[in-house]
Amino acid sequence: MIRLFQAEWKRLWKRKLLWAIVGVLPVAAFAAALYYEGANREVSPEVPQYAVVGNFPVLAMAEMLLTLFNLILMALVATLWTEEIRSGQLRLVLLRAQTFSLIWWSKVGVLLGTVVLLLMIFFGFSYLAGYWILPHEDTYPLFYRAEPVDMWEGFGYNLQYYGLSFLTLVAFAGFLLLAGSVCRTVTGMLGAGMAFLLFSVFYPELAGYFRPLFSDDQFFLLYFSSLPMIQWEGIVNLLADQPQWPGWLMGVLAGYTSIFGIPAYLWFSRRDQWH
Amino acid sequence: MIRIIQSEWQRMWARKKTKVLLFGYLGLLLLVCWFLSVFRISFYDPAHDVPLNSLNTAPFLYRELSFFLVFILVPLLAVDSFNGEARSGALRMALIRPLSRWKVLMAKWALQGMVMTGLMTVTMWTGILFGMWMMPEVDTTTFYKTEVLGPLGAMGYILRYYSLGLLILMTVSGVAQWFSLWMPNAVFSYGGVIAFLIGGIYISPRMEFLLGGSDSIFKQLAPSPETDFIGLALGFVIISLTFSFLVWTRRDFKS
Repeated sequence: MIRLFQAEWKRLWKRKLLWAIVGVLPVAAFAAALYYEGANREVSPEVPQYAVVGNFPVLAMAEMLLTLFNLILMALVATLWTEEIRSGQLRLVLLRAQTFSLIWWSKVGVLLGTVVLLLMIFFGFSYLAGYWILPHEDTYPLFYRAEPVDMWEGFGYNLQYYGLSFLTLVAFAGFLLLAGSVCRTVTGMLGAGMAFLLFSVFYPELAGYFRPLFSDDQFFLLYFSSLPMIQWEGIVNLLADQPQWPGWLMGVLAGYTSIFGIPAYLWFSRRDQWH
Repeated sequence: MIRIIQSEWQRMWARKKTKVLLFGYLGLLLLVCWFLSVFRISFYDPAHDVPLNSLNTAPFLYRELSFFLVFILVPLLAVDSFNGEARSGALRMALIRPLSRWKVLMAKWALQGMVMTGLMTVTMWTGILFGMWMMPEVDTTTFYKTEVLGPLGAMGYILRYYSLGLLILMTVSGVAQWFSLWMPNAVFSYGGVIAFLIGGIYISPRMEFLLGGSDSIFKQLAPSPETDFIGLALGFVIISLTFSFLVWTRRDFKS
């Protein structure tokens, strides 16, 4: 198992794609920092949107999670699953006495490990970019929290935020794994992922037009049944002093992971890839 | 030349994805019609709403669908045609024949152009007919900051609107070709196109027309244009087509 994991890891990281992604992360962090430096002129330092060193990792992540990290995840799944199945690279692994389920779990391990590593890299670079570019404050306010926090408490908050971001990426990965195992081509899989994202962004908007039909609670539940909306606004809600419906949000994440992940696993481990 | 285009056409439809995408698009078109007929209101941009009538409905079909077109349909068609075929080997079957490289490329361009023009025409006529049939009857109408237009004037506006919509799609398709020929890996090319579409606004606000297509077209067509993207879009199209031509006629597809 460990050897299989190592082999997967090496095959993934020898690709130019991975190094391109790693190269994009600092650029994204610094671009976001420059953007917030400009945006700071418009807002007062008392609101949580005001970017300082301490809260910048969260603000940068809020911006990049929905776009960059979802895209990175799609690229990783496309490479690890669809591309390898279709190009025949997987056959070389299957020459060895390995079961599909072992390969599956080592691939999942490599995928999640890579995502954690990329998140950590981005976390580091966003502190660095914030330290260079943004103002330094001893304490600063947070979204939906009464008490301002200092640098050290904020660090804990940031870690929690990144942890929850990771969970949303796992949930999205659940869908992508199904698409990646089923779709015949890389472009098909990427299109399916993109369609899933656009659809998930649009149906809460659509529901917004029918707002009077729902009670407040129903609308809240519907709105946060969409993965991108959880990524966009749900994470700060989960970390608030009094989070609304935390069970529902976590349930939705677990639901996406299992509803799509389990069929993907069954599909992947059942099929005979030699033919 | 006709035969090469026919062959391209057949290979395009041989991909199941094409069917899913194009029929999916028709489904979405009906969905948007239903949606607009329920609400009878739409938006020029987030700040300006507009009640729909029998003459001004057509542009809003494109407005609602532009995300699907720009982010999914057009890039996938281009990436499949320029990258997927070379990778899957389907292209070799065409290149076995003694055809000039540039003719194959012209056929590909012609096909992409035809598909996009077809999509825009279908959308436009659906919009015009749907407006006349379902929306409150009027004799004159206005669009974003224009003077009052009669039926013919409105048709002219709609035609110009959809021509600019086609220009945006051609920009996206051109950039997708460029990335597809530049990078051998489909993940790279599709990711590159998306990054280009989203990342553009970080580089310059003038690139907004790729992301907020419809808003930019309305601003462009106002009597005193509030934005000007035609030159930039044409520039992108020309640069990417030149690049495609240079790569396509030189690359060794045998390996």
